[in-house]
Amino acid sequence: MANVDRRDFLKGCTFGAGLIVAGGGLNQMELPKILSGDVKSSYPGRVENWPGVNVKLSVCKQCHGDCGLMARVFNGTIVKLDGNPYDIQTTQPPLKYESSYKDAIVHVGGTFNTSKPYTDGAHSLCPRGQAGIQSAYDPYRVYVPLKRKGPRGSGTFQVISYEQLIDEVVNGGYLFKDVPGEETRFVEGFRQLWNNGQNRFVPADPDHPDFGPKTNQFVATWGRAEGGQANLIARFANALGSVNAIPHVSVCELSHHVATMATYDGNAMLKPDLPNSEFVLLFGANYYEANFPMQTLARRSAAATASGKCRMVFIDPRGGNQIAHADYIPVKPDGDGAFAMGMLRWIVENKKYDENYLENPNNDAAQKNGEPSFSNASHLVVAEEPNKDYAKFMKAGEQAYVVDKASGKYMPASSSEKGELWPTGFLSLKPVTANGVSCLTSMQMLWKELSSHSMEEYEKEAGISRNVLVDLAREFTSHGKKAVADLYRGPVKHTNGYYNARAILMLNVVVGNVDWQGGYIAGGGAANAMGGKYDMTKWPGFVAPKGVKISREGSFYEKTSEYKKKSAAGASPFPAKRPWFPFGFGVWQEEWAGIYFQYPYPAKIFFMTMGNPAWSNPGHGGANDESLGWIRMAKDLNKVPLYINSDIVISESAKYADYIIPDATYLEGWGTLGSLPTYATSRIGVRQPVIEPMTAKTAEGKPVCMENFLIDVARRLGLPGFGKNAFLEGGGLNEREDFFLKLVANISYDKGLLKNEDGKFVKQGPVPDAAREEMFTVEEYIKRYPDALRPEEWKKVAYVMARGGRFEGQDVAYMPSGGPQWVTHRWGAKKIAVQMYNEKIAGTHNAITGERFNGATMLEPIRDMKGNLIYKKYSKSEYPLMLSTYKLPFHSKSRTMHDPWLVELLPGNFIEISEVDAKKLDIGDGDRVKVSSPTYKKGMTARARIRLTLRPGVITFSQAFGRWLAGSGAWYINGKKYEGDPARNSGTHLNPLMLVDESIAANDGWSVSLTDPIGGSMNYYDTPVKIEKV
Amino acid sequence: MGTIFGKAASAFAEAKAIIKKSKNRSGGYNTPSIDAGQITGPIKNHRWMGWMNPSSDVNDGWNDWSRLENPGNLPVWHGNFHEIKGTHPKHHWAMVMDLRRCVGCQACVIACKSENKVPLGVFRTAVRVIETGHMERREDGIVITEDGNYAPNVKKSMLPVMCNHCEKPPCVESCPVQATFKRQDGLVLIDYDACIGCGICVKACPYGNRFFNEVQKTADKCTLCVHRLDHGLAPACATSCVGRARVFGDLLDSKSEVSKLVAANRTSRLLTGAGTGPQVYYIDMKGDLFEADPGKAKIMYTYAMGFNTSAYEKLGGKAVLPAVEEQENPYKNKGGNE
Repeated sequence: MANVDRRDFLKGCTFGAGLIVAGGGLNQMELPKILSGDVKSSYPGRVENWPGVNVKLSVCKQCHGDCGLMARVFNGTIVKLDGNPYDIQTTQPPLKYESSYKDAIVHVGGTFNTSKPYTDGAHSLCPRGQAGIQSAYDPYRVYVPLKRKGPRGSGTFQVISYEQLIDEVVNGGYLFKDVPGEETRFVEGFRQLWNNGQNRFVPADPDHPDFGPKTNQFVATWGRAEGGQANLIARFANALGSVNAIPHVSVCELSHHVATMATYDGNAMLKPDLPNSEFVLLFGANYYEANFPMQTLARRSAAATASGKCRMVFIDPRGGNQIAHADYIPVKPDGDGAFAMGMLRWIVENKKYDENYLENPNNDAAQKNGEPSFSNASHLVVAEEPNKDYAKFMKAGEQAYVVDKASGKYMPASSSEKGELWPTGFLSLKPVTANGVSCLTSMQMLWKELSSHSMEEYEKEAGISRNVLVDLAREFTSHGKKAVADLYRGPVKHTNGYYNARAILMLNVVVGNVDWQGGYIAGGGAANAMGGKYDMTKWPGFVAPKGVKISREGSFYEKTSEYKKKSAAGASPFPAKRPWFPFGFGVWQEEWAGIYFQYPYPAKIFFMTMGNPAWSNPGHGGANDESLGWIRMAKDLNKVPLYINSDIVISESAKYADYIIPDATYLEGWGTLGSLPTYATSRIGVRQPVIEPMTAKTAEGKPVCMENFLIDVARRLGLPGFGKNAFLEGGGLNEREDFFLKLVANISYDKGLLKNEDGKFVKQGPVPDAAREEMFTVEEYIKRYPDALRPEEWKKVAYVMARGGRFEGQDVAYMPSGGPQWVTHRWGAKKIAVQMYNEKIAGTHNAITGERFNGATMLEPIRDMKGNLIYKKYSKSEYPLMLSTYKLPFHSKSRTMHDPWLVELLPGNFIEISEVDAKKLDIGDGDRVKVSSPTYKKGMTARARIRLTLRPGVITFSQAFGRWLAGSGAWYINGKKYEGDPARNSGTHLNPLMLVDESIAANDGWSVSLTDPIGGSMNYYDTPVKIEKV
Repeated sequence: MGTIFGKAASAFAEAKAIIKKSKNRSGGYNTPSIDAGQITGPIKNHRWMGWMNPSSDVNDGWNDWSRLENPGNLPVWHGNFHEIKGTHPKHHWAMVMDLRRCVGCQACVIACKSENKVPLGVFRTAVRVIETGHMERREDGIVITEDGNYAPNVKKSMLPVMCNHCEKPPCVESCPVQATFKRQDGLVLIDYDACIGCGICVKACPYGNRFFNEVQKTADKCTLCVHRLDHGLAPACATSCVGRARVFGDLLDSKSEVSKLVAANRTSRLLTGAGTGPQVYYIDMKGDLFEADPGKAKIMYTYAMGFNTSAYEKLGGKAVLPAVEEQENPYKNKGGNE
């Protein structure tokens, strides 16, 4: 920059762009100490078609998007990761599935040959995905089993042999007798818990046998184990007699799933059909930074807006990268529900909903009316208390009832052509008497809630002008079926997250956009990995596990013996000892609470793989601070008598483990990864080892990893479904490949995928046999595991492995032209009603307060589990700002700080504050500030950065930073001190500030984060904070 | 692609022969292994950083830069670039950045790092994610707060930057030893064997897109992935562009996607007034945005400024960069964290 000064640049640039280049250019001009030291060349990686380069197609795991990947391996080293060209998630249009593997490895599209119509040759992986090489080669990985040497949390370990590991965890004993304080502590191993299978039939709590047997005291959980892996962990837990195989969903976005399933039964997520959408509202969902997956949604979203045919509106307190191409509405944190309800109020009041759609009372009527689905908007709900059926649908058997629009008569929904939405007049909330019972329609139930608040109230709660709500409502209802309201974490990580999500989903319900091109779609499904050739869900000697999960997820409190006993004794069944979550799955914080409160039963063996609550969880985790709930639980030898952790490094959570099983990275492992609703076709990716696991080998010569550990424990115990004769079809399960290869066989023989034959969609049947040059993908497996599959299956398995999965063609995504403008794979094919009103939710209670939930949606303030208003409890004058958080497009949560390429993009994060608040508080860029919250008064300190696109009154920070272990910090193995890379511990991680629920804390003050009582989500965005300069 | 890459093809054949002979090459199943008794730490011979990866260093034709960079022996120029047109080149490679599709994700940045084994701390390409504007206090603002209303007159923009492979590259003209050159097909390249690492070209680039490569002790910059291009493959940044904003191709071929995009859209180029003739074309670059006071344009990443500069230090403290693990002792203390 020396030859030309800055003023000269400014004169010359086309659009003044030089300002940016000059002001923030690469600035890479630290100049050389000329020609000193030894000189090496930094050669580029070997290209795809270089001789000796081994190209493997597998699946990424740097986030849960699971994009297909293409790995270039040279001399046994992974040199580059790209996207799998067969996979719609990475390539658009994807290579035809029947194309040869040879074409895939040099996929360039039409860049060089312009004699044919142009096709796009990009086959991308996002930055996280590409940097995954560095996780595999993380220099801080652990390759051998470790056993805790000092007290829990001391970070001291010793190396043990794999055989000793299996002996100790199976047989139990005085395993830590050399650790001060644990001399006389007898640790029960798997053998004691299993008790020759007898404990599967002995209740853990004799007073409540319905809570399940003693074997439920084995609790398995994962931060990220996916298709195949999760199934293997569940197989182990279930074979042992435990129901406790629990994923992490509540730390993620559980309430979004619960609300979606409450609306579109059977589907946990839908997405806009972006190539055809005209108007998309994004509530707290930033496709340009993270989603399912970021790259596919970002690409389709940018293509849609670039085409000029689609308008996107981004509704979020922080201007995400999406606002480069979308309008930005900086809603108040937690204002999403009010925002959507305000829109809905205007839509209903002005009759802008799709009446023709909503009046269809059954599937046949809908089909006749050209609709792919119907709703229960006209179905009658019992509205009189104390009728025993109050808040449930008026039913005879399974048959719902409506007031028929034509005849005005009360009749079964199946007999009516059109159901009346307003039996007592438009916008009337007067009940109709049907069969002698006062009833309201679902539409009336919804309107009852919507009309109980004025537009002024919605404006105040949303923090956005009501004119905006009206304008957006008007536009939303003027695109027919091509308008969609989508959501992600933003609206749902609140105590009212479920209701917020339901309000947003209701926007889709009232226009009836499900299954339409450009509407809200459920995706194309996936080939079945769990059945077909091999039944992976059952095994010889199968005994179904029984009882309730330790997190009380998936079970209704109202059905327990505890509820019934209390009620029978004439007492109120409420409060239960802890909340119950019949609609949730993977309710992590209540898994910890179950362990801590020993309710519904105490835990004995805790197994966790690729999970890191000590770092990731809000309020009860997040910092190297042993006062935080998760760490207190993990340190407690009585509540967690045996803790086994499996990970690739000693993570913040593994630090407290008794045993650490070195795991394979995703580039060394297996999995089957189903499709996402982001596109309309069937898809399943097959993850296969790109390189062999680098971990130590067992005496049998197998690599040590999570799956082989569970298999070997099971073999030692003699669990059914493992070892010899493990499958109904015969054959053993002695190593992970015995399991995973069968999943691939099931996929390759799946008959459900479609193909387009001259405009007609027909079933494909099994895949063809692989070509000879594709057989290399299975050669090594045939040698090592000859009995894993039947001989004729290998060729088909090779076909799928060579392509990294099984993918349906894009030419069957939409119904053939001339037919209805629907997607081919439809949610509506279930022939069940879209739930404007959900009677199951309405029939369920908060197990602490006994309060009934709302079957429609409602404007619900932020409350703790006992119902106290949070902002009454914690004064806003003392804590005037709201804490938020977000993901960068180049980090996921707890795994990407392994990767130096990602770290150097932004060497540390900041406490981000709006320009408005920074001025008020006299905070400048780079100032050190302390942020504290009512439940973390000691606060945390980091540098501030002023953000222009942040709503005033909100502070935020990006996730992934602030790692005190996992390749950072210090740990000890065999008495030697190891120190990690301090670059991984840069920036800040404000999760400990997030509110914990003090209303249901243990007597000793232990608690977990505030929780959505219906959706089960941990709370991330309801924390008032104060900020001070230091 | 066939004809001009004759020499590359011979390097290819040579590599094939070497690999056939080589005994240590593994088959379909790649088998790295830890040392006997190794508990943790890096695995020898299996590094992710190219310049430390001995397996990338085999003598199979890759380490011959002159052959790698100009396998077809295309004519090259060190000055008088106007002559190139008269020699009827077959191709003129260029990049179009369609900002309507750039999502700011940094995939191209990592693709370049990974493909070209660019050392830590320097970049051949970067993507600026920029915030501009203000939350303006206004009665009629749509943002309603207890402290009054605001109008969100703010915007985010993306700006991918890389070597512009200029028509008249000042960096090439400045080189005292003619180590850097412009190839007939438009690529501006460096012969790393000839480069003396004096740094004059780094200063001569008005875009700041050249840097000093500490590993090879030479100047360095984007090569448009010449090693891929000469094997019929597109540059890694274009191959992995998530939004498909980067379109690479031949401006001399009117049917190419880049030609069509340049013909159909109003395009901008950076610093055209410097007379360099940059060959990276931007679609939809918003002038009003970039006219904002640069002090108020907040660049979020790729790191907003060099991390070794005092400006970064003021903002983020002393940056601790990821450790480059040295062979024997990856655990040596690498200095304090802020």
